[in-house]
Amino acid sequence: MTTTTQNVPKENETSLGLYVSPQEAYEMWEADPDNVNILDIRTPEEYIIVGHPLMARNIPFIFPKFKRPADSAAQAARKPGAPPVGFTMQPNPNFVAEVKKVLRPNDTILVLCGSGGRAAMAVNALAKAGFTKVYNIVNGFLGEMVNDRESPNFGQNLDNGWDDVGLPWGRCLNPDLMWDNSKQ
Amino acid sequence: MISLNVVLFQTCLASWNWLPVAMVGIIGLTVDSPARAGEPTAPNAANANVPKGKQTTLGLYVTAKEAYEKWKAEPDKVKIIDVRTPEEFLFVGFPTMAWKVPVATQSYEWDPAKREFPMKPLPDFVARVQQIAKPDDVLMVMCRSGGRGALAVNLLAKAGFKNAYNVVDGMEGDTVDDPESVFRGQRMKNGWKNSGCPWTYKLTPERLVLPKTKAD
Repeated sequence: MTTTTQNVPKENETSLGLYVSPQEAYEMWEADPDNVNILDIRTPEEYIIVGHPLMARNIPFIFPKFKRPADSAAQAARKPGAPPVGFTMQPNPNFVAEVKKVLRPNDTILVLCGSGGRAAMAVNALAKAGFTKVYNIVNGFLGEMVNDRESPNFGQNLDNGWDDVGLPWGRCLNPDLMWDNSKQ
Repeated sequence: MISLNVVLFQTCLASWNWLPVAMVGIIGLTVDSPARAGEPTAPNAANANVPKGKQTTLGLYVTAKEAYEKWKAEPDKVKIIDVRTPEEFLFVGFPTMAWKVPVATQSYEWDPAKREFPMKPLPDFVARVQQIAKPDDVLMVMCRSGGRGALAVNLLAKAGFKNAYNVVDGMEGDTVDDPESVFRGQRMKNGWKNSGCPWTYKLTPERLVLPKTKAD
């Protein structure tokens, strides 16, 4: 089954409407490794510690920021459902510029994150900057959340991601593909 | 000067050939990091079974499963202290009952000689543990697979903590090094997550003890 707008989760949708499953992404890359670029936009910590497709380049799109937790009164006063005080996501202000350093607007770029949400935002940012062939790898590296309450893995991202459909991945670091902020 | 050259993230298949691999009888652990020379080790028999990079001056060791059992038996006395980075808490997950007190942060500058992104120690680690624990509390100090945990235990021991255990297999455990295995290079052998102990990704600020930043 080819991945189309009809079967991607809402939070994975992009303005370009181009989608691939992890399996399709790998096959596209394998068929034309010189012209198909896999771009992992997760944080360097996820790329280094959780692991990554070995051919993927890392340019982070957003960073989580952790501040010392505010006092308990401030925590108690936060609106129901709001993220905990002191924890925010901050965009990488140089994301598009950093991508432009290594890729051209008509390159084929397959964008990967944890489960397709952040990647959708990154695809939209690149589309706005004039990139035209940017695909979202739906389900991302980890996959969809397990929704089965009976499963011991309920609430964890484990289904259909890059790392659990049998595609090659690892934690081996290639400095040419790494995001190194001393060089930015 | 604390050395974090334990090469915590050196799991490249390419490096398997030269990394000393120490088989450990009792708990079946292997180490994938070079041992640190000149580190003090306690004259404790328990050390003999623990890879050099995971040994501590106190010589107290548990597996993740044992740490969980000890906490379950005495939740008021035993504290699980997870010393990894906030990003690991968020993206890898952490034990539901753990105090989260990072001992080091990830750097983003490639070290070409060591072929890694080194971790940077956080100087106020001990002071942050002292905010939440007393010197005779039983502490189960946990990291990813026992390297940073050893470092943290040694710092705590120096500050007078006596019952700080290193959780030798940590949150994620050791990497499978069997060249025949399809899981080679992956962390599927042991550790908190692989042992069926409860954990979550849901980051709440309770029990998160971070260093002060300029913005505070």
